[in-house]
Amino acid sequence: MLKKIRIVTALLILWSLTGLLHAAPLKMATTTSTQNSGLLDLLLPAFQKQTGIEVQVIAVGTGKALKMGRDGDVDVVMVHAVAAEEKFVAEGYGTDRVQFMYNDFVIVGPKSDPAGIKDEKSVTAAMTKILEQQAKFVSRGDDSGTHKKEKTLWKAANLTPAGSWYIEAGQGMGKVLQMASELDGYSMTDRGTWLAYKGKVDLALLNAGDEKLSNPYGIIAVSKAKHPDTNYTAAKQMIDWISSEPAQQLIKNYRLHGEPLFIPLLLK
Amino acid sequence: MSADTLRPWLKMQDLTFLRGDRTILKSVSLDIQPGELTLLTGQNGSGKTTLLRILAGLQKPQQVQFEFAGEQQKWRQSYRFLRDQICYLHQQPYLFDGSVSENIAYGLKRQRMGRQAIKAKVAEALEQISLEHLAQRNSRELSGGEKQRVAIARAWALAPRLMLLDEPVSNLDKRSRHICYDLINQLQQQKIGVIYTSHEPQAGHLKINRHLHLYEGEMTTKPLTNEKAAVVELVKGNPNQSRG
Amino acid sequence: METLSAASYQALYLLFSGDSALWTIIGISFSVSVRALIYAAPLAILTAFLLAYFSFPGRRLLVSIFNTALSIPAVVVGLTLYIMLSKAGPLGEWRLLFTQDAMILGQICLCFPLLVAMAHATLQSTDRRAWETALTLGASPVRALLTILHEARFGLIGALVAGFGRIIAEVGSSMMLGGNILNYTRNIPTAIALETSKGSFAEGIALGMVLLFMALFLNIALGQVQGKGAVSQ
Repeated sequence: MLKKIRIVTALLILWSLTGLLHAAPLKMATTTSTQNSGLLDLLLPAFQKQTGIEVQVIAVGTGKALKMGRDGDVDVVMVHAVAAEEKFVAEGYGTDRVQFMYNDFVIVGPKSDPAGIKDEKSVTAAMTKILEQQAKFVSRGDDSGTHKKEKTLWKAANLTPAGSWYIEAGQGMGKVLQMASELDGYSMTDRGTWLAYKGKVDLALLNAGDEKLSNPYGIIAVSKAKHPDTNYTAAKQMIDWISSEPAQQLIKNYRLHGEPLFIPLLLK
Repeated sequence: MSADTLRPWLKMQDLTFLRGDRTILKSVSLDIQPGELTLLTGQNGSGKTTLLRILAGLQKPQQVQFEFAGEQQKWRQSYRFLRDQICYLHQQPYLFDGSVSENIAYGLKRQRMGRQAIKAKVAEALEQISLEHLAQRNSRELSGGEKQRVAIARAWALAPRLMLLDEPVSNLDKRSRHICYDLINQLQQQKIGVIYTSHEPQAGHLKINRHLHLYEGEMTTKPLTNEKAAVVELVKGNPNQSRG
Repeated sequence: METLSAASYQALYLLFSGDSALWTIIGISFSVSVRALIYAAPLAILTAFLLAYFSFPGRRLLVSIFNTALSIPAVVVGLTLYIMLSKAGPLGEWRLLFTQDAMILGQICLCFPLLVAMAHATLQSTDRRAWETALTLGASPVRALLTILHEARFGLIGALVAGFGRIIAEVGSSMMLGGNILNYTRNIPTAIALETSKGSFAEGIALGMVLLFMALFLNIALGQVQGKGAVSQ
């Protein structure tokens, strides 16, 4: 009996040691919309195949992702919020920032389009109409990259959304689309989430293509100077790899529900 | 007691009560005269309590026939009347959380009596049981004998036709027993009918009018041993005629 | 890294400086949960009373069902109601989804079984003689019921406090059914979830403190009330 226990114990210790033999995993904070797009499921295995580095993804809101970087809880951050990224780097929390791809945001709304924005080319005109008609608009309201983008657009159009028609949900993109569908409201979403949800919600794509709706993605290593225990080497490897030709080709060829989603920025 | 007492105000016939497969009461019949003091004896488990609870309208029997004011009634029409006219006191009476006065006022409030009238009636009831000094005491702080007296006063205040006392003295000390017997005698003087049960035939100093005995679910009338009994046989008909 | 203590200080500042956004959230939380409790309690207590005082076929089964329902997770209640209330659902015409009414409905469903189970336990332990005494003294069944509830009030208040504790701190169904809409359906738990996702821990801690203070206050108050009850028994 005692012998058996010894054997089991020894095996347990051996098994726990095997974990140490692997290369230390790379912790990456990213946004839920990035993870929901499915792109990481394509990129990360390719990266691991080439470098042997396992990537652990923590999908949260942009604000939280950057905060995790600031606190040194992760090694690398992949987000889409230009101003916040620049601030993050300027304050010394991040290094080696690269903008490596972009996709775009779209305005969706009820199929009946009560505010009549369908034929507007410019997103500013569309949003003005929504505000004038006081048509329901469901905002993320969670300080996420998408929410920041939306606020920028209102500001650029010189509009201040307020009132019972402007619904600040404080939830993720998918949930906000469901709410817009249930409440017959408009919303702004990244194209990835829209493609994933368009079959499940009672909404239509009503405005897209304006330059202002572009959504560039950045990847930033967490500063080794601020957090010496960070896995900077692996983070740098990740950034170099994602800027490389093969990775950029993968991004270009990625399809979600048969439609291209991301446009690589570093493809020569 | 005059001739009108010979006409029962409540006739109960053919009462049968089963608990599971066991017959607790077997075709029991009972006439109740106004202002009559009845002793009901029987061993533990002979069905005394069940009989009282049925009479009080608290427990539904499998079969019964009531007759009051000359009208035959089924259980469905009777139990409300029984609850109004008859007061049942548990072996250990339950006093509501609150003062002694509040307890005595409980039933009076249900009769939509005015506040002044209730106050007067409560004072009168407290005087009856000589517990005026405990009027504001919380009921939970009373002794067993005091609780029994408050419970009797609470029922008395409602002026019921009949009070059913379930082993009222079995848990009391000697002094409390005597106070309780005195109270029962007073009830009788005020023409309030009483049935009280005991598992021993000792009636103490009570002027009982009739002695009934339950044995294996059947009821018999026993001869009175109490010399002070005013009327020897009040029961019309034969209460122990069993048909089952 | 922002330390816990720094966030806590900031939280206290937010609370006591009367930060209006914070207090709006607290107000919504209480108004929704108190209403849910007020709607759920009478029927729950009546159900508990019927289960405790009367025997009828299926009584034991019902007691088991309510005891089982205690452990249904809030998200399951939320999801079920979501499906019912969504536009495509059977109750979609009510247009209740993402309103306070939907949150109240969810919280009613959550606290009802708890209220029934706890009130049932309390009423079961009350003295049956109280019921019979009330009836024999001429009380109507309704009046006798009220008397029983008064006799059992300490246990029943305990049940209400426990029910309130369950729904005020519940995030799953509120998030799903209310939608966490600012100034409308954003209550303390959903706001904590949001603030945490934004990385603003101070607001989250401030709201958490409100829940903690409230739990402390309710428990002390309950202890006082029940202590009183114990002395006089």
